Amino acid sequence: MEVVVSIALNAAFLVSVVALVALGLGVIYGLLGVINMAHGEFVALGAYAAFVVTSSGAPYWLALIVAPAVGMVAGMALQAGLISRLVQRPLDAILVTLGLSLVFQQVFQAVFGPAGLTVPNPAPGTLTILGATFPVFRVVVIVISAIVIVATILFLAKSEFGIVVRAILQNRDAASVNGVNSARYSLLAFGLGAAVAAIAGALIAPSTNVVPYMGATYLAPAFVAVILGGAGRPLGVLLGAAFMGGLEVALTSYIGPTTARALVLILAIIAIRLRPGGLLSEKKDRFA
Amino acid sequence: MIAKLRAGGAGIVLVGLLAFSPFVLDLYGLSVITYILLYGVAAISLQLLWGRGGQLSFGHAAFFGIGAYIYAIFTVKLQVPTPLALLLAITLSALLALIIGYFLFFGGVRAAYFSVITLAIALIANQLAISWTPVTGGNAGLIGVPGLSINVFGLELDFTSPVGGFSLALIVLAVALLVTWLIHFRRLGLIFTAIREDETRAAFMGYRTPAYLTALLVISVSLAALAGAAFSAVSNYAAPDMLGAVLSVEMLTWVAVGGRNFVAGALVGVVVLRLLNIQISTILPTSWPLIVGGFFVLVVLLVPAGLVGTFVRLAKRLRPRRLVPVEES
Repeated sequence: MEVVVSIALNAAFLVSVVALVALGLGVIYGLLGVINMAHGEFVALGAYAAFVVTSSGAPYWLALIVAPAVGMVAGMALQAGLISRLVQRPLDAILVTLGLSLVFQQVFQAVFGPAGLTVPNPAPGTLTILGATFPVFRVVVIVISAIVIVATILFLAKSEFGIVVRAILQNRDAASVNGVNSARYSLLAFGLGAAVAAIAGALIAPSTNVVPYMGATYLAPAFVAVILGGAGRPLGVLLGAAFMGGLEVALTSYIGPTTARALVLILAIIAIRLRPGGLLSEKKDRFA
Repeated sequence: MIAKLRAGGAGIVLVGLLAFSPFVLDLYGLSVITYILLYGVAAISLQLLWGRGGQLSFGHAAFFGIGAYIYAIFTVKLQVPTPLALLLAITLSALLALIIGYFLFFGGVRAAYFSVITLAIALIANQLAISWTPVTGGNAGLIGVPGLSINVFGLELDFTSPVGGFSLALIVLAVALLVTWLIHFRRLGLIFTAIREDETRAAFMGYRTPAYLTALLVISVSLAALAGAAFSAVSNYAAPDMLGAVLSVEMLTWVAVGGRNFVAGALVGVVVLRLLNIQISTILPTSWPLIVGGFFVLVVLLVPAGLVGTFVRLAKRLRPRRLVPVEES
């Protein structure tokens, strides 16, 4: 029982982080058709923001406001400066973000050094849940992630912004005929996606080493989660994240982290083979 | 027909001219050109998939590195004869490509999704290489990989010397050029182009497009693995950065810099970036990923057609107009 509970709690932790990263990716991909290969660097940016905040003596919780703000500004700058120039060439836009991810990693390394930085745990101690001991901070991360995820999904579903975004998704031309400035919404969507990724970075910073390449660890499962979920379906993305994160944690306790990771990817590819349109799609949607 | 002969002739002249390198270059120059040729084959394999099939692999270094590691593991750990290890490197990688193609292309995964999954494959391969220490040597990689020497039926070919290594690289390049030439000027090349331009229409014409795309992936991966295996035979080592993200992006940069629609572009891109790497790494040893990333971004933004593509476009513009429309080559 203890083992099951502890696996479930660890899975919930990883799933919530992967879901945050994947949700941001999904928002950007859904609206711009650009797979943001530099998304992992926004995660790292959030983690570095948390490091700067805590090392300047401010409480860690301030980072949960600073990180998304920094992420949003950086994301909007990236969209305004580079990606918006490549609207007609979506593949090239992806290539640009891929090159930028290398550049960002090097910039982090130049500014903060290659060694791992640590962010002190703001909520030390452990809880005992159904016989399994679990760090308090991880519970905090799960709760905050859940709040951010629900807020983002509600925002996309209910707010005027979300309705306009979905209108653009359905028919860009018709939306612009109705007076929607889709470039402005693209800018906001990129900023929103980057901000969510930066929150994820700030949330994982206390439980890991903050290094320039840290984004890559979360990026691959997040990408596959978006593909599994079907782009443009936030709930599907959550399900995809649950698939990737949950299986990885469950398998890691038996076969070690690297093999678990490889196996999860293989299982995901098989799942994509069976349900090309995403886990939530009807089987008859299949094309090939 | 003329284009076919011209392209074939250009390939023969290139290989022929390169064959003189051992007589004019010193040992250092020879090793530089050997590595450029092998990276060039890797670039050609990526160009084949990208330019011809329209499917872009973000993790192509994985296949180069897997070829290198298979050759290294079979020769160092299992003492398999070197020619057999080379064959195993190619066939096992081809088999892997077949499996990947079956799951992705037959599953309807295309374009950006395909690119992302190949990147994930490269990340996994890199992690496996780092953490599966008993087999792969971990972070240090495998050293003391023997060079290729063939000794069958009294035929003895030794590729272990510097000149031998260069000859191996040149042969591998010739093979790669021959393969791309055969594909380009056959029906198969036209089918690949049709699929790249409009897969639905190609499927309506009766072509099983997933099968063709899988075949293209297998050919491309086999070439990359051949280049990788030859690389580890010549350099006598295999290391995790051979299948990492940086090499993957550098490969994309080679093809993008040269021009994604031209085989010559892939080669020009390799020459430009590798020479730049040698120049820069003496001044700024650690900043190569920054240069690759930045250079890549600038090329994609400013010169999307690449050096060769831009050159061809300019040459077409400068040529006097003819009354009869000329067929695009």
